[in-house]
Amino acid sequence: MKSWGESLGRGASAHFSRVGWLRRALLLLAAAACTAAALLYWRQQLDDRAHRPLHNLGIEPQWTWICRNERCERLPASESTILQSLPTCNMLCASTQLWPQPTGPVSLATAAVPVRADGISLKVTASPSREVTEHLNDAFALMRDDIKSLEKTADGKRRSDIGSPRDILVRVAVNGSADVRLRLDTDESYKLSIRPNGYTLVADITAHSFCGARHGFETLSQLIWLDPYASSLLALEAASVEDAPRFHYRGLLLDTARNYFPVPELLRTIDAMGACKLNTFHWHASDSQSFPLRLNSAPQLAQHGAYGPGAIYTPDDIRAIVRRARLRGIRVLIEIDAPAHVGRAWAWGPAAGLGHLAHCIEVEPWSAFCGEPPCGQLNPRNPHVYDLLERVYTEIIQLTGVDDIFHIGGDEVSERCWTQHFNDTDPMDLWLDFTNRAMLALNRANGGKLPELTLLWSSRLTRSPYLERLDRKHIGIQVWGASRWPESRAVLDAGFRSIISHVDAWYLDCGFGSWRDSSDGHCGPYRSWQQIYEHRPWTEEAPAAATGAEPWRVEGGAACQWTEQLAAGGLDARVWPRAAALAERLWADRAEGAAADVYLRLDTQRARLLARGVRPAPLWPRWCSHNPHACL
Amino acid sequence: MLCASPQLWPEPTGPYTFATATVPVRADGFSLRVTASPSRNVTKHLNDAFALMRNDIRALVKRDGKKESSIGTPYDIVIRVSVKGSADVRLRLNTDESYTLTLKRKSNLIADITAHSFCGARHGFETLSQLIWFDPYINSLLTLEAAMVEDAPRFHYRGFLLDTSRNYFPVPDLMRTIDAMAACKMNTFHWHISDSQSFPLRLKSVPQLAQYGAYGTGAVYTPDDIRAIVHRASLRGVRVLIEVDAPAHVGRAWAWGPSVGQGDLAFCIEAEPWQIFCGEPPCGQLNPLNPFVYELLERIYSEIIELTGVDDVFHIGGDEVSVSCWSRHLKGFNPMDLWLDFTRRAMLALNAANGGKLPELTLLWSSHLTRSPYLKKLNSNQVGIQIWGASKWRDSRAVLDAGFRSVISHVDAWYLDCGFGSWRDSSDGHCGPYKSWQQIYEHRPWKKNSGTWRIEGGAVCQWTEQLGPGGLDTRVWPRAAALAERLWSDRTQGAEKDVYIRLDTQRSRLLTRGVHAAPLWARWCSHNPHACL
Repeated sequence: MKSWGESLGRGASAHFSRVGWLRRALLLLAAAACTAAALLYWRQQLDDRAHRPLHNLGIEPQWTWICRNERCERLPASESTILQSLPTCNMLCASTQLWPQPTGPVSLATAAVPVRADGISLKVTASPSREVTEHLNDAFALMRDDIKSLEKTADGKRRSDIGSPRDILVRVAVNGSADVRLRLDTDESYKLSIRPNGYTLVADITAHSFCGARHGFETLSQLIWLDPYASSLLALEAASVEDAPRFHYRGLLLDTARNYFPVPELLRTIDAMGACKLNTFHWHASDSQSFPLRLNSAPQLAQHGAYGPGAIYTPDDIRAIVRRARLRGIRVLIEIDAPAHVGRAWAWGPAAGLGHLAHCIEVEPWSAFCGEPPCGQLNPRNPHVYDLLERVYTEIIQLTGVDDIFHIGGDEVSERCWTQHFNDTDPMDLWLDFTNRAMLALNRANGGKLPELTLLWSSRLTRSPYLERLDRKHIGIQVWGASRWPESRAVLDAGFRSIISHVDAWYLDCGFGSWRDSSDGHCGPYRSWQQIYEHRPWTEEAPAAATGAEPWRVEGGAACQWTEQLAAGGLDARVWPRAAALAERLWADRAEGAAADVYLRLDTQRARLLARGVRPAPLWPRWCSHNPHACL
Repeated sequence: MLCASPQLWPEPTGPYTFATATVPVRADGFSLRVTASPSRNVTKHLNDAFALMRNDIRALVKRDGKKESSIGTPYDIVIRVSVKGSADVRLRLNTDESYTLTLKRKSNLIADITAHSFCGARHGFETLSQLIWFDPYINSLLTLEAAMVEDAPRFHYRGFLLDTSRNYFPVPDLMRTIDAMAACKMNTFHWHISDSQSFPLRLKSVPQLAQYGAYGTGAVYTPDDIRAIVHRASLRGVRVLIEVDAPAHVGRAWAWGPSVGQGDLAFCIEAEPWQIFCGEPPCGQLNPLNPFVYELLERIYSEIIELTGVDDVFHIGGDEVSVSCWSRHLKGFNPMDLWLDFTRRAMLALNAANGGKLPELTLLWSSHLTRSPYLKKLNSNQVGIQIWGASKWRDSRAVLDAGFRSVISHVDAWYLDCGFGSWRDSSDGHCGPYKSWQQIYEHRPWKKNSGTWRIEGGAVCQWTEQLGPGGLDTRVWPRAAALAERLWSDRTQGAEKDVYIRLDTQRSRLLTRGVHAAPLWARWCSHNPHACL
């Protein structure tokens, strides 16, 4: 049926055998230590059950799962002497069930012990700063909340015959950065080991940064699950994980300008990102349609540009979002796109005696001056524009605490709009000049130095002959063009630091038809999670010796959720689990594609997201979850 | 509401006039007077449906703490309803859903609704509720001071199919979906309740089916759940058409036959490799030679008819039978003969379940069986066909040409599940691309009617291999609303400007009723009507 099936199948089984070997190794150790008292299976008194009358009306269906040949098989509970739930079978049978898959060695016990959320405690054994210690405590509390919410999904009383729950002592040592923020140079690696010590499980996490330690919490929480039959949390009795990401920029873009998303939706999205170890919330906060950000330094922007009361993010909202993101190891990268993609927010210049801050605002026919209604483009000749940008940038840096990386937009400038107003100047020169002056504003906003990396969208400006005029030391490019476009590649070949967001792979908004007419829409079809997962553009780098190109500097990537056709309420199912697929691509970058093991682990990750209140789309009919491998 | 278009969805088919002056009203000022009713049951239903409408109107109010503005005392509205006609509150194939609504100002506002059935009167409530809106600046509900609408649907079967077998949807999701359907005057909730993946319906008469077939506790519909859903639907003018697909699309639910001495009720259950025996995993197909199968079907059909009260139309499935499954297990038989025979015997079971007579219309999915030479062996007086094949397929047309009563669900226009890639591999999936609301709206297959076609209506289908409860509203709405207007009004125009704007208004109505409909576009386009068109 599918030609790649076999080769991927082989890859998957090779992987299984590696993990399997480690499991066996650890199992031996565990047996030697005589700690295999874990209760895995509950033998049932089933003798009469097998012959129970079928007309018993009160009986709900019940299944049991047995691990055979590294697969969990479903059987009617009445046909087996073992009653084991699906999550427990999954956790103990073959695959690691971790998402994203760690990149270092992993060994996991195949024995589980009961635990409870209240029995988990933290001890910070080494920390480079008080701030790191505080953040560890707060991030730990969030993790415990996640585990509590999982515990609450139990619908029965805890079974007493599985033994009393163990406590978990989490000992964290951070040796390295005293800065809690995610920086471009943050070392996100961590090591986690779990082992029984008397009646307690001891989980040791070591890392070189707060963010790394937090990822360790996340992995630990993935080794704890709820057994619905026991109505109890279980944890692996022993584990060892070494892990570090392949790419250090792992982003999700959300556009809150086309349609507004209330703060709780953003917080939930950030939580889900944290669960998948994504680390950059690229907040496309404004566009020509609306400007929902109420800034103290330029309140006019939201006043003229927001959709209305109730569709505004206040500085306090932003601080709350940034705070949550930071505890989740995530940077909030707010982008105020400029000079194009602006609108009414900038229409108040003349009334305030500042002249035209923007041209072409809501001009008609829009198709002459922009890609979608409404149009609008900043006035590159008005010095007040740069004063305002400086204020906007200053406040964003102050609110987010992100000062090593900044996104100034630069998407889709209409040359025609500017030509109409400045017919004496080449609009491309205006654009270059605007970019230089915006970066000067950014420089001032950032206390007299540019952030290490200032991002621009790929555009005509990032094509030859303009690309050569951009400063490669300071500018990075977020490449949204299709992966096959020569200009997408040219940016990489020119040695620019790049974030990949290829429209043909990582745009989450594609495939919903056009919102203006009955055509199929501009960027269909829909990108399935498998397609997102299997996109590895960096493997196409040609040897520099052959081409004379610079080595590629791919910082990472971001999935983009533009929201012309999406609003609150539909967010989760549109974004998840697809953004999770990208998360593993960027964290683990396994050579395999969407092999069987990936389906099963992603399905488990989806269940974790559900337990955290995220409502991701299902991968498939629940039957396929109940019958692992049967749909593959 | 006051500028140009009358913002109704679906657009009425008869004449209408609207005042351009408004009056303030309040939800508590609504009262009902039933001036004529053919039965006590109709009267009771009118009262209950009115209460639901009043709740919908209450939900419009978004007070933000401001004081009531000084636009004057709100008017009370007296709704006088007169139903002359059917004493049956149920939606029947022959129910006259037409209604007239007039609104005029005296000392109170008087809304007169006349109809020939409860369902028609209920549609009148719905239209009246669409003439009431909340004005956030003056912080009050408003309505028009006068209006007149005459209205009747173009098609009498306006359906939405939800598959609760591939993934389970909790009862509140179904209730909300039915409310949204009614807001768009859709009238048939086609509940594809079981499939080979799961059987969530707990029937008293055959409890084994859910016991062996449901995903687990918490993924079961009890008889009380069904009754609650049917009751809600009945107040909303919606029939609940439960389909237990057979003989294919069955699974573990039927695996218990041997253990109770009834032999194999089904073959190929979860057989591998599934590609040989069915279209998607898992496989399963009833045993057409086992008489117990028909006894069970009769019990199932009886209980469904009893639970839903729908006995004039019934859906027995008939989708995608695997010839190779039966060939393997029943050697010496022609599988097509087995299929015909199965259908005949299932209809006998239905006949018995329905008190010795067949429902007026028994629906089958289009399939190999509804193609020549088998099609002519089906009785077009009894069998209707739900055509899911693509509109361009010759078979799809042949069914119509043969004079079968038909419900249209063309996969290339009205399948809501298409366009989300494949759930088994990295391909683009089998039925993409996504069908946009505009494409759904503009599909009018009856345009090519040679004169003999008997199209009862249509249904959009939401199969749920790739959908769970959290994504339901956004996947279905406003696209199903687009179908609703196609089938109610069937205007010759396509998705023109006026349609965008009215549908956008309807979307905001759905939002106030708690349905998370997808936006048509950026909110800027709603704020600037016509600017995005």
